[in-house]
Amino acid sequence: MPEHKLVMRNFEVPDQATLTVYEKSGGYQSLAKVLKQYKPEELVALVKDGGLRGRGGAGFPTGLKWSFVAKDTGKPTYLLCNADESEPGSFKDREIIDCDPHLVIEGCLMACYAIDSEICYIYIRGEFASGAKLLETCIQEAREKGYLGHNIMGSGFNCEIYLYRGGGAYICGEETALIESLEGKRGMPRVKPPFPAVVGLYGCPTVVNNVETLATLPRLLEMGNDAFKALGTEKSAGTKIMSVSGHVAKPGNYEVTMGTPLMELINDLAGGVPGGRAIKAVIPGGSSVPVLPADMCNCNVDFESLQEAGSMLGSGGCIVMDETTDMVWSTVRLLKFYEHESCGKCTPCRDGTGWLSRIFDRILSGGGHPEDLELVLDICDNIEGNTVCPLGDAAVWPIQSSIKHFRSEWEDAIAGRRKVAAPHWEF
Amino acid sequence: MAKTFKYPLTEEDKLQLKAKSQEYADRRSAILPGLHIAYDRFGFVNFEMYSQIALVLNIPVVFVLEAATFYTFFPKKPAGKFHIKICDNLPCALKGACAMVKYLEEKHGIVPGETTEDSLFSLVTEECLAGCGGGPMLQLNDMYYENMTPDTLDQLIAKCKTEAGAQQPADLHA
Repeated sequence: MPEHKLVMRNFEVPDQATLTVYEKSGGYQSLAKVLKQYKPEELVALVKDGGLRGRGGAGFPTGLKWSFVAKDTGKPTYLLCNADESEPGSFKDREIIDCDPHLVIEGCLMACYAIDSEICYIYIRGEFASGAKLLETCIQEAREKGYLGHNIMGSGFNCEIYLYRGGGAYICGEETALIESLEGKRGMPRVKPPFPAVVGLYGCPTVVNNVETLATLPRLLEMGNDAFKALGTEKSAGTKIMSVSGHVAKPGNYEVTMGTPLMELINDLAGGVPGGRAIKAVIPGGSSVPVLPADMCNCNVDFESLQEAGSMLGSGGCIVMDETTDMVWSTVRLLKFYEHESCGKCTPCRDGTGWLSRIFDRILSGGGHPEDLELVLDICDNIEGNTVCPLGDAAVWPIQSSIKHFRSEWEDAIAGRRKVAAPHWEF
Repeated sequence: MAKTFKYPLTEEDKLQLKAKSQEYADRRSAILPGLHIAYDRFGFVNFEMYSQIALVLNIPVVFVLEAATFYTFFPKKPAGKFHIKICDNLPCALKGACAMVKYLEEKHGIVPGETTEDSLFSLVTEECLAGCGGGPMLQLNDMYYENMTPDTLDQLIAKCKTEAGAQQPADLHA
């Protein structure tokens, strides 16, 4: 079975979100173990060796990220838990928070211990009102039980967790934009370097970790590095929660071992495309990653395999499109998203997404020009790599890949040989 | 001279915001919490509320304005008692989100970007709400409703109307 639940293990346990039930399933034992047996630098080394990579999109090694934190600066160090999940196709963090909030809190505390931080902010998307309420309750419960606050479990370690509700901006999932937002400013990314590990929140050393990454920590400690590494591939250890959406019979979150064949995830776990229709394309890692045509989906769910296939694992938002899907329409819809979410800081992204948007509007209303494809690709080329944060890249990768793999659909639409159509799925 | 506000934050709101500002090394960080408090109280935010937040936090009002205009979560004009957000981004669109928007408009007279005359419903189309697994989906005030069908949508609208004690308006579709 490719499905292997580490983070999702207790999602279906009744009242898992309460402290009593969480404790019964071994909750806060990993934290206890860490506080008793490891020094912070030992925990960093352990997570480094465990091969845990960030689950938010970039896949950066977590332990390595922690090791960059500036020491002895005389300033506080901050941990920020990134719960600003807004990537189209990704809905795992919301479910982790709704189903097992204490697991996130325990992960935050462990990460804080590793980086010598006494303050963690959980930056949660504004729309997740029920998740925010739940986390508030859980933080309070944990505080009353001595799992956070002063001298946690008699270890001498002090740590506070505060919840911070965002304002519905996709860009705030980018770590430096998240920091700006937490400072009460518009969520506009900062130029790196300096990296947050040196100059982050309020100019202090800061680590930003994704919800799923943090929720994996207690499991990693519980099972040990060898067992964790045995689950994945050489360079992608452990499991990954894949959010499968679109044209499948059973959409939802599936936690699989890294290296699971993509088609096994789509067909065996998510039930495949219903109605006997064929798959046309898959966006394997959230809207920001290049789209793969069906015949290129013979790859595995891990960082390396998807990169080799010409896409990325990203945040694991796997969007499945069947043969009825208009690839021009779906690509245009995603561009509209990036146009809307561009923060406006960098000219190529701010103006470029607008240009693309207007060209697409013209094509969709039947006014395509023969040179449009080259024009679009030229604009994409001038956005890619020329912006402070990866939103610009994310805006153009779906377009470049869509034109590459479905060129004739684009050419027909531009020449007016066919009308671009929105999905006509029955509602 | 004490200023009177049309949309006054309560003393409790202000205390809550003051307390929240203690959680940060810089009180400017409490702007978003302040906007959430104002939004929870009035269902939207405006300049008057920015002024009050700025007064509580002792910061220039332009800081609040700057943030408020960036974050789309906070409506800038009064929304309906039941504020509906429908995600029509790709994953939900693949499952019929566009049809759902059309259905709401044609059957129930609830139009994107508008508030119904009785102030009961407002509707906006939204970018991804991280409910892709349950598309088509919507958010009604704080709650998520997933795997919507015309039936469950009708029931939800009817439930809202009952809750509001409003009379059922004539079926606009008939």
